[in-house]
Amino acid sequence: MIVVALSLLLSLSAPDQPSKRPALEFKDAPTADKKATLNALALDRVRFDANELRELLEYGLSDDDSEVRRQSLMAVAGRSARLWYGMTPTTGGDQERLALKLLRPRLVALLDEEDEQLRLAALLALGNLELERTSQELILGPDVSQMFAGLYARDPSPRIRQEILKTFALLKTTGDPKPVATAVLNGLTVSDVTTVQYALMAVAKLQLAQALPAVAGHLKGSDRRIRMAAAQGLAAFGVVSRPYLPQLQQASQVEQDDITKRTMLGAIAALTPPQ
Amino acid sequence: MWILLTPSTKASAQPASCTNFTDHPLVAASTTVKAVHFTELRSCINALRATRGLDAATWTDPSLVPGETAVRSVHLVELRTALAAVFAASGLTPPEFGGDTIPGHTLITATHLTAIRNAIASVPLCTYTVDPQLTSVSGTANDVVVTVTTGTGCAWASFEESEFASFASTAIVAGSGAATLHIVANETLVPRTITAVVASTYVNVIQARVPCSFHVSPAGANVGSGPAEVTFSITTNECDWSATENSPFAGFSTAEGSGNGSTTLHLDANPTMQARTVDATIGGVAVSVTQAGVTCTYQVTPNSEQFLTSAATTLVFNIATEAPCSWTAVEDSDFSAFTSSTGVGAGSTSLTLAENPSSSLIRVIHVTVAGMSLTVNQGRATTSTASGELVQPTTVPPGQGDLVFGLYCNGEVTANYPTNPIDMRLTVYVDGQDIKTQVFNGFGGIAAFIIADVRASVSDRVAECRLQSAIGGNKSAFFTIPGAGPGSVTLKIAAFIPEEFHVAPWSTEESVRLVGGDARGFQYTGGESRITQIIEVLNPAVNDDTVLSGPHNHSGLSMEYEFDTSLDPGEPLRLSQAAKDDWVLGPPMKIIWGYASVDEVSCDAPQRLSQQYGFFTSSLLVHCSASARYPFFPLSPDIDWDYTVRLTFTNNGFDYVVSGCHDNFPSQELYLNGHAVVNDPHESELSIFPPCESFPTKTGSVR
Repeated sequence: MIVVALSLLLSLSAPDQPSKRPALEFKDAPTADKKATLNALALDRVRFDANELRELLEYGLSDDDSEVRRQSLMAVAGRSARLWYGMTPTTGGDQERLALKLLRPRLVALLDEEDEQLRLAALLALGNLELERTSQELILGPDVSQMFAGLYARDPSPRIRQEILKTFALLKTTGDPKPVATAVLNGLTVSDVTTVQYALMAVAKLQLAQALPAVAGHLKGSDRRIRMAAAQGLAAFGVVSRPYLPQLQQASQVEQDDITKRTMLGAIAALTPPQ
Repeated sequence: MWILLTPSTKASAQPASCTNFTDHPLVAASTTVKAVHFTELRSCINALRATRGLDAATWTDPSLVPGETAVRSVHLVELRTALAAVFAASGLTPPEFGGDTIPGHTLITATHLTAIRNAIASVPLCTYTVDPQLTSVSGTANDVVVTVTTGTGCAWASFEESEFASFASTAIVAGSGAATLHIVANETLVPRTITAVVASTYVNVIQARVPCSFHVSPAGANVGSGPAEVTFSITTNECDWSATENSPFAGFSTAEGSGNGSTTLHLDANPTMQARTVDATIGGVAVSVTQAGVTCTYQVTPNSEQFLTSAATTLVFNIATEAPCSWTAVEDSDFSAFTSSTGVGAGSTSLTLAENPSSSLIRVIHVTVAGMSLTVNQGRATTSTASGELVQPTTVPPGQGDLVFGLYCNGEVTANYPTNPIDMRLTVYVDGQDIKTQVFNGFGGIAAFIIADVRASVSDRVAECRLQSAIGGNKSAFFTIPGAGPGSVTLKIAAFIPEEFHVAPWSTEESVRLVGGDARGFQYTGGESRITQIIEVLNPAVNDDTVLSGPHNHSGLSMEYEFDTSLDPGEPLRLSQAAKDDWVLGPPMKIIWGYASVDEVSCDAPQRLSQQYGFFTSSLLVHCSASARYPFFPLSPDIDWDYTVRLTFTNNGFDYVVSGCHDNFPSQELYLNGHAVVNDPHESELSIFPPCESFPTKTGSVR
């Protein structure tokens, strides 16, 4: 099977030879070969003309096999990530990115797949594709920010919700801030530790001061990741969160985990007014 | 089917009003002209006009009253004119009435009336020939054309009041012509008669019922070679049907029927190896049944490798099958032969072997009987002996109270094909007490290798494995094994970043971020990692439980630093201590820190493997996997690994087979009791994207 996959890859990457278009050859290839090709694409081990790449991925995203669809999404994510990782010359990167952006409607449709792994892959593909890097920060465009907030509201998967809140915590979201804030505030109330952790980080990133009481409440969380993120969250608000210094101090006195204790003490130091 | 009848001619008599005139004949100068004479002529002429399709004439003084109405010339003129139209419609020249005009003073006499009466008598009668008057048509929609032959001007018409038929036209026709009767399809199951009237003649049309239809199910069938039955269901609109076939080996249970029903085709067993087909017809519908030929199966005994002594002998092969299945028997030696090389049906054949004269060579014959191949070994001309040379560890471990240990027994024996089969016996003794004995059906191999996993729970004792041969009693050596290999093995799996730091891909021109690394190389103990997975599994040779502890999943602290402020000015490739000690969120140094989730880091319950002899062995299968994500890496897939570790414990260690995959970022390591099995340095960050890269299977031993 490996030989066949290599054959496909070789023929795909040899445009001089008269053969079927790569996308058509991909479409008719055995499933194992499709996956091998998509993996090679994700890892930047094979290159195509931008439009050929888009056409091939269109077939992959519509394939009957759900794993091929997932691998196609990861290929889109990988190719897109490669662009903002700064691994491609600007000219070729722009062309490829423009071509990949034509896949956007299909990616959006796959956000509603029944399979959780497919939805997660669609989320990663869309996020990486739409991520913009300025000289100062990474920005998630308004459409995708709103789309992710909407997906958070309707998707029952903790894994997907974690990834959405992680994105809100680490990237600059744009557009209407309300749906994003609604998602983040909801994340503070769930039982999943990782979701709460990212929600606390996002509260700090978005400076949602109305959530400070809830953030302070998480200082008593049962998991060190939550307690640590809560302390970091309070620190991120600066003087605004000074009213919660007593709670921080109380939490630091009973904290058993060394790093979490250091974090709480660091937050206390940052919030305490200078003498 | 059409029924044609000879068309009949129907003549119309003169109208009744034209006969029996009053005072007939009128006698000139004698008979007095009366009003009734005019009235009768008016009626007659109008009746004649009707036969020619003419409208009734209108008369002056429509009602002539005797004794009151005066006879006027116009009354006579109107009679002549109305009658002349009858002649004209018949294509005849009107008669002369003694002058075209009757002046007003002319006396109306009997002569005038007699001339009219005579003219009336000369009007030709209308005859009608209608064809057909009785006919039959099919059940579908039909048009029946009825022709009418008659004289010029003779009027006729057609009508039909049935809901099943109608005439194309019901207008009055003058002269010869035709009428077309439209008949709708007869959807009923019975014929019907439609009666129409054409030119006052009844025309009867018999319309047949709806055509018969037959649906037969199934349309065909495939059956096995044995006696078979196929039942066909017939669906029809109350029609008669018959079932016929063309085969000497098949017949229908019911050859005829009416209406819906069924019939079964019985087929005799097919005695041949060829398939055959029965073509049949049911209600006119062709059906086909294909009967498979006999499928030959063979059972041959003996059917396993044979070990014979060196003596001349005969080996009988019995072949169980049925005619007409044929078989062959072939062998490849020049010192043996089959008594029968072919046969049909059940039978037997014998392989005769000459004595093997060699004292050193074993002879091998490859035979194939009825498609079954086996090897026949003919032993050397030696006496039967058995000997054993067994691995015998000599070290006895010190007792440690209720130390639980396992036994690992193996041995080799060489035998010279004595009888078949031989038994080789592996017995475990503990302190001289036989606690477990396994009997293996040995084989006369040149080197018989037996490996068994036998467990014993003893305290500070000596265990013993003994290998015996069934012939000649205890001829093998025996050995004593003091204990098993290690009581447990620790698997440690980790993913780490070897560098002190790593430039984050999400850095920007104005803000270069550093991902804190683990600053270490591959190592079993010590050092930090992104994710660590540890599980201690028990030696299954000595424990029923498989897990001593774990899996313990550990997440290292993930940290992010600001490039400009966090490097050590003296050693720019290292982070400054101040940055490491900075626990205040945000710039200038350590920006953020946290732990990754270990929710998706797990090991399945280890699985004990069965040995070929059906006993638990000292082999254990451990499967561990992880999907972990760096908490500050936006929109990134998980860091994946998936290891399957097979451990086989021996008396002094264990063997391993490790297969699986891991992402090539970050670096990956796997240790077994401190023994490095996977030490793979990382590639680019893109390697966290699928696939989970497979690595070559790693095998080895730890002693």
